[in-house]
Amino acid sequence: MTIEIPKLAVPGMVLAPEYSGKIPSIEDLNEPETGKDCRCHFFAGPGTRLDNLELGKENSTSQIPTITATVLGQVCVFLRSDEENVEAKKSENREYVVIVVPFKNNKIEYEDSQVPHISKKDEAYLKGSSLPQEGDIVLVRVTRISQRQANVEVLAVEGRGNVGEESGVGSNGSGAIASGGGSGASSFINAIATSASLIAQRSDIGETFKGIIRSQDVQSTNRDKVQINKCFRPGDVLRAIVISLGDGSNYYMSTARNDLGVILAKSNGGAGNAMYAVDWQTMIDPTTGVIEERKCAKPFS
Amino acid sequence: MTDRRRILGPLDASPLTFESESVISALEGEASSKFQLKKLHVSQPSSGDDKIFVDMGLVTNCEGSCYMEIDNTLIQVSVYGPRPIRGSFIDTATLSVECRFLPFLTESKEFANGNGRNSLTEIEQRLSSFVYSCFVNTIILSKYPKSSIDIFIKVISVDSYDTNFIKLTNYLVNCASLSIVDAQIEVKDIITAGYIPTSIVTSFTNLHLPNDKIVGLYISDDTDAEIDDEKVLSSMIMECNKKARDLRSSLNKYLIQLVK
Repeated sequence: MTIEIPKLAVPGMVLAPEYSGKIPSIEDLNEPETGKDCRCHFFAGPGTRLDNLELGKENSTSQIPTITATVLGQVCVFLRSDEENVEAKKSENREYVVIVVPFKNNKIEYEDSQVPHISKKDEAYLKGSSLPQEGDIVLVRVTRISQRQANVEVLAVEGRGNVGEESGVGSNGSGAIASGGGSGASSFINAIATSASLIAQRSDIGETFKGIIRSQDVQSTNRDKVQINKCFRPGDVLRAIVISLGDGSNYYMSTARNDLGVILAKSNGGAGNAMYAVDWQTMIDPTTGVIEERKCAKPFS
Repeated sequence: MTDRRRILGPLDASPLTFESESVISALEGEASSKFQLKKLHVSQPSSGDDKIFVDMGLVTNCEGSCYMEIDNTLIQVSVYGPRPIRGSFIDTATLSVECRFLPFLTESKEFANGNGRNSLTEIEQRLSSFVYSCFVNTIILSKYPKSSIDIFIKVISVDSYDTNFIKLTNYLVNCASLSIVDAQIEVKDIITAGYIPTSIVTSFTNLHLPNDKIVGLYISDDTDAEIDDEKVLSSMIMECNKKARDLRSSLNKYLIQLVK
């Protein structure tokens, strides 16, 4: 029997088994070889998880690993291979990644009615939740600099959308503010239902996820001689990589790569105009001609 | 918890203007037509007793919200998070649930103090704990390290005959479930609850799969049923299961319609 993968999913819906002996039928896709014998391995992408489905009566249960949806949205299936080309599709072992795109995001449209192809190295964006994880590229805004480090706040994770798109007039919110602070402050911190061992200290209202870029993580050469104020200024928007989840308050990030660094900056401490990168350590204000020092990201790779 | 933001007013604020009569009536017409579009009734066809009005995403200030009307029981749930925390590292999210009755609700002596109380009443605490225990194992908290997910439940109105809050408890769970779906927080399954008036509420997950599980059981203090008897209890649970199953299929239909 051929497996049919549904097009839309609600949380808890079974999407596919982990292994299948036949090529699945994917709704709306023009897969010519549906139903053909083939070893298919399904991986759980974002919006899904691997669960064990228990079948059978009480004494003789068997567990079948299945991929289950965890969010409401549209189901997408990608073919996965080592190579960039689509030859892998013809091989006897096929690997698929099943993901569920949350319903508030834009819908993914398949091109040419073919199973979209994805190579193993592109999979960074297929990780789960929208919070930053190690190895993610993030967009951050510099909030404070000191000689040793730059403090930043996370705006978005590349490929996965905004982080902590906060409610209220936070640093990146746009909603209306309520008199009590707006963003759902617990009125009675000691009275809410939560397990005592896990009580986390709450951050202030309207705060975002924060990060630190230490001076030795700014660039890959001459690490010891970096002066933070010649690399970043408060208000700059950077592209950075998460190197550690850090402590409770801060992620640790790095810009020590060509494609990482300042991407948006204004001259004269934010009073002037938006600047362009001239080379990797200079930016220019095209109107006034002011030149400022920054550690710039290479715009095109 | 302090609010250290500058109070600047909303970024999308527009100045107060006084429109002429015709503009106002046109605006009102627009608003009402929008509202009607959003009205979607989820009814439980087989049980037939509860007709439910559901709307998701009414509260724009939070990540996800749901409003439910069941006769005179009105519930609004908003979900905030994952939000950042301070202090030491934790590798999963923490969940907190706060359930509050609006101060003008005086159906019970619990609310005699009315405004100005500085903690949850006993019944609010009980309901919060029940909702918390249903969800703490269903939300995949490990996906959200060093953050907190907060569920705020506002009970706007309670049916006067629902003195032991069985019906209310039932729909608190269902409403919270939908608001978590609206917040796009990853969950193992949608929880739906079923209830027997005057005695018991049971919440389930994986209803349509062989491995369905009970994640919460709430038994009223003043129940007449002999819940000590295992057979009586299991038949009651079966009845709740049936109701939860019916509701779950309606909700599934509603959600799929929403995505389309």
